[in-house]
Amino acid sequence: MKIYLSFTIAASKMFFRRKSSIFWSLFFPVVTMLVFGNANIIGYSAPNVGLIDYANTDNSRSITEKLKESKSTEIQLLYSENEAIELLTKGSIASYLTINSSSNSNSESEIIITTRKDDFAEKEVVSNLINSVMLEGGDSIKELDNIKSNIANINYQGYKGFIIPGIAAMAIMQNGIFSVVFTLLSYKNQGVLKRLQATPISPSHFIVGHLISRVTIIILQTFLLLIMGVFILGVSIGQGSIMAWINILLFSLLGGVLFLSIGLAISSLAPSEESAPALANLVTFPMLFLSGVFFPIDFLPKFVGYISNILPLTHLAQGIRLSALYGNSTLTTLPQIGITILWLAIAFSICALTFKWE
Amino acid sequence: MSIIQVRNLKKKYDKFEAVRGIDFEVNEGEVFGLLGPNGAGKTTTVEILEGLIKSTEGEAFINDLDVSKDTKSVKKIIGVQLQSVNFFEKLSLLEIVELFSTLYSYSVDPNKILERVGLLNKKDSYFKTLSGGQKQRLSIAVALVNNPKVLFFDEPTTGLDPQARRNLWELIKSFQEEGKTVVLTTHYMEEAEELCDRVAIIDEGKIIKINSPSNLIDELTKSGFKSSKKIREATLEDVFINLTGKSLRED
Repeated sequence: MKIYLSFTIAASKMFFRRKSSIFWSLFFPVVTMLVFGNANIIGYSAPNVGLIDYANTDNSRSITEKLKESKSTEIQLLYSENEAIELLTKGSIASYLTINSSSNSNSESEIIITTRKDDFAEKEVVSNLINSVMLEGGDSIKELDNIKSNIANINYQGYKGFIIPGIAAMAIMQNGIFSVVFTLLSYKNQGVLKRLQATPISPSHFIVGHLISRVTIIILQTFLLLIMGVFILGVSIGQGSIMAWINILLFSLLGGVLFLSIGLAISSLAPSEESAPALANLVTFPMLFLSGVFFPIDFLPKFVGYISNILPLTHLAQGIRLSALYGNSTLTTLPQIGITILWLAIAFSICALTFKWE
Repeated sequence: MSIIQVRNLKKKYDKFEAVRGIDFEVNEGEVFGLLGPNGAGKTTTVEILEGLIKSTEGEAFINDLDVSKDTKSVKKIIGVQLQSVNFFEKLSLLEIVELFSTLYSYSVDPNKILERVGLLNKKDSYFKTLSGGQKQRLSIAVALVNNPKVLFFDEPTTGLDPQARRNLWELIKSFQEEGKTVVLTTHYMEEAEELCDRVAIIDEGKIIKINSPSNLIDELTKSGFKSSKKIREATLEDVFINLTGKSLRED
């Protein structure tokens, strides 16, 4: 135990003394986060729009049908205001519509668009959509008397709310994979591991100590990024739920161990020591763009979306985002945790089967 | 009394046979030299004894412990200096010595060990800032953390200047005075002559001869050998040391 601890402390000291490791795992993600967090990228919201049809008349049903034909949005039928607010809070819908019947006539008098605070883009998109449905609807649709808008008491965090958890997940991947591929491999090449082999302990103690140190650093790095998001970019993380923060801790731990194992697997599968960094880039580069770090995977073509749904970073980013942005707890992110653990098991088995100390 | 016994030791790699049946014994308290040209099998032999590689055939014992079976117990009683000296670059010398002493669960004062090898004034420097001679001395310091019975030095003076080399010679002699056994590989004959009680001359994976340096020289001269070089009272190295002094330069 004492030996693991000594190695963990030594590995942490070496991490903080190496300028390049500080640069890549702390400075670089922070700068990326600040740059993208301040970028004014709109329209990233989920294309889903909820719809509650209180009127339930022929006319309201034809309006619903027409809206469903729209290519730019995905209409999701809902049955209560509570349900709609819940989905809006979670972000799985960007807004919702309510069709109310009028009290004194047989026609529907109004449709209400409910959006989050400050989400003007969404309000405009949905109003345009309704107007075009009315115009193109032809005979089957009777004009509505009134199109109203309503603002729900839910903060819309904009693109920065999306990007901060994404960057946190990306940093977990980068730090995890490269800290093994570069640092551990260089110890191996320099013969440091061989020197450790000449002592009564096995070099596995050092590797485990190194991994413990890195997982700790990865967790700190995740929290540093999120806290900077709160104080510098002004987003709210976790929606005031402690369970959400605990869940983020769990995700950084699982994600850290996962990507460190992938790093180990890469270093043992690489045909030569020189090719390991190239292989690491080959693994991380596609994930940067296909895993919903910078933009939602809904933006990608359908078949690419299938690939995205397999990648481990997709689920890590999704899990952290659900907790950071919408305050989800461990219970409501079980699918993401499950897939991360599944990937962890795969990476671990590859390591166990292929890793050589020499 | 011998502390190391090596019998019919062989090491085969895929196509190449690095060690082809070696026998020797090392007495307790002796400085024993393995001499030979590059690629003769010195390092392979030493690394088998250190428990770093497994022999293909034969057996070896250190302090009655079988090197291939009780590897861990053997590692606890030996101190090792590998041919390529490398430690964690971004740790200070004190931290490196402390870390290694933890690995042996042996409590030593790292300051004393660094003082012993003349690196106390460098204890807070990082390993990467050291000169070649200093790196070798740190490597020796690390080999001492478990107060070993047997020390292995693999070409400790290769690439060092005469002052640093003589400084290491003094260190190695002091280990012998403490009663430690030293196994040393080198391809510098004057080093072997200066330090070793007995030497084994290895070539192409086999031992050609084992004896004390002076006996080996006598044997050769009795056979009628005459050096083409005139033997003088001093060597060029003596001149160099006389002119530049004995003190180490890198500090």
